[in-house]
Formats: sequence, C-alpha cells, structure tokens
Amino acid sequence: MQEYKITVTIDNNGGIEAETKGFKGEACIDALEELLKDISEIHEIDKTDDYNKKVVQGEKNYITIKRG
Amino acid sequence: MSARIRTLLPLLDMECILQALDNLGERYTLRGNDIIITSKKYYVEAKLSRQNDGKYVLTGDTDVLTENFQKRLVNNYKSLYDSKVRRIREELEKKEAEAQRALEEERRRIEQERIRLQQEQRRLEEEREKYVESQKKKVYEKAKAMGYSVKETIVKDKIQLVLVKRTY
Repeated sequence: MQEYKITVTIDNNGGIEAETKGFKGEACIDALEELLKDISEIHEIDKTDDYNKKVVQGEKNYITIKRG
Repeated sequence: MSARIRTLLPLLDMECILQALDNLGERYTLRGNDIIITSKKYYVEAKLSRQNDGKYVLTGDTDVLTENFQKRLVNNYKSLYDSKVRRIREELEKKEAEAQRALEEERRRIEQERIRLQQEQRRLEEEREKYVESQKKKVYEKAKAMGYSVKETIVKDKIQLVLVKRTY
C-alpha cells in the first residue's frame, strides 16, 4: 500500500502553503499543480539542494510547496 | 432714631467714566491714574483719582463738584456701565452657544467618520473571511475529485486540510 499525503495550510489572508509526503520525484509537484491549478497561477519555481520548493503567486494569494 | 443711607454708585470702569464725561460735554485729560476735568463754566479743575481699591473718587473745586454734576456723572456712568455689562454678557452667551454648536458639529463629524471606518473595517474583514472560505472550498472540492480524503483542522489560527490517498 502506498500512502500519499498533502498538507494544505490556508492562512488568514488566503495564502496557501502545501507540503507533500510519500511522493516520488516530480510526482509531488505534478500532484500539487493538479490540485492547485484552478486556484492560483504559478509565477516561479525555486529549487533547493535538499528539497524542491515551488513558489506560486496568484493575483491575491501565494503558495509555497515543499516536497518531503 | 434710625436712618438709612445709600452711597453713590462707585466709579470703577475708566472707559465708562470717560464716555460719561463725553456725554456730559466735559473736557478732560489723563494724567497717570487721574482724570483731570476742566470745567468749561468756571475754568477750574476737578480730579477723578483711582484709589487702591480700584474706585475713582472725585475731588477738586466745589464749584465743579456740585451735587447736580456728581449725580449727572454717576447716572450717566451707571447707564453706560449697565449697558456694557449687559453687552458683554450677551456676547459671552453668544460665544458660548457658538462654541457649543462648533463642538457638537465636530463631535458629529468625528462620529460619522468613526462609523464609516467601522463599516469599512467590517467590510474588509468580511471580504477576507469570504475569500479564505472560498479558497478552502476550492481545495476541498478539488482534493475530493482527485480521490483524496480530506480532514480539516485549525492549527495556530490557520485552516489546515490534510489530504490522504492510498493506493494498493
């Protein structure tokens, strides 16, 4: 059995932070893009050495994505 | 035997004294705290001297200081003095009413502004809450459509949706 978990946190201004767990490779980004594509627009992607971090900024909110 | 006396009205206000002398047609000059009256009729001088208690006392030649003159001076002074007191009181009442009106208008203006800001604050708050709720609803519905189970909690005042999908 494979468990895929996404924790989405919405702050008081509507900003979204999402963290994934259990995904392999770029699958986490694909899942998050699928989840959030109609909610906000991706403006840039920022990857670090330890994990990929994707910053999405819409007209009114921002999304930070962490891959676990 | 008993008796009752009445003193003449004390002369206190220089402006009214000078106006009274003008009304009586008397010539005068000012010398320090004294008002020197030069009688036209007798070419002698009388003096109104300011005492320590603020009262002006008439001294001088008796030809000038006739009872009639003193009464006319005091009566004229009284009329002017009463008018002055009344005029100042009326002006003061008017100013107090004006001040009260201005305060009331300012208070009303500030209250209106306060209410406007309160309404604006409420509107912003409602707008923000509505947006957060719509974000939550969109994520929830999309997650469900993608086959995730959704559990909602509040963590440090923020909405947290935990999406879980299991494949076998």
